[in-house]
Amino acid sequence: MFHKKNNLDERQLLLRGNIYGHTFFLLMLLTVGNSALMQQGILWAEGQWSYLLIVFLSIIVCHTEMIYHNIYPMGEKFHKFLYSGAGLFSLIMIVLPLWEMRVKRIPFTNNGAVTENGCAILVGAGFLFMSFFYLYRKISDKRRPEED
Amino acid sequence: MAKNLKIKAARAGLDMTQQQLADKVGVSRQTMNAIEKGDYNPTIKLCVAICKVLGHTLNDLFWEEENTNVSQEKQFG
Repeated sequence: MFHKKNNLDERQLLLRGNIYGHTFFLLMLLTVGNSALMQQGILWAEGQWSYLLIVFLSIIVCHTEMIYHNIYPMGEKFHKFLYSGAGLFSLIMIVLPLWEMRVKRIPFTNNGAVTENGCAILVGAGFLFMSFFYLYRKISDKRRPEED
Repeated sequence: MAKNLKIKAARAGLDMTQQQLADKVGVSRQTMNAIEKGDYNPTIKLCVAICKVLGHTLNDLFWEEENTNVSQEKQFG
């Protein structure tokens, strides 16, 4: 009767718009903050990782908010596959740099800046959090009574 | 926003769950729940769809008597 567009209903479309707004604002804020720090000569992450971390953090915040509101724009099956993949990817992102850090004795931070391996671990931890949050949401939704 | 108990009562009258009503209307259960709890103000298109499924009019399910009295008082001083 009331056909959904892109698998989302009107409330979900509204929420998705708000989430994209939050994400864009966060991305802008972090980019400006990072630029200000760079102007002052403060480098908090090695190489180009500061930009990558900002982008990844925005993506993780966006997806976490979507999971919280049960919004899956590409369909639930796709998102289940996506978050499972993100979970596996995050494990690789954490284990490989950890192993390299241990073998080559690379520290997590160097001269006040997070090393490349440290940054990879942070990204991995973010994606792992996203996957576990999805898992938690699915389990809590199943346990919740049909009408709340 | 106040809870919409009229929808809940009409749904219960037809022995339907939130999920069943949401499926028939074409929205998510969370959206149906938000409407009943008064957390979300649906568009007129969705209101009509809900009314058609529940077999009621817009007045039956979405008109708030309290507002009518207030507006009448304002109109007639």
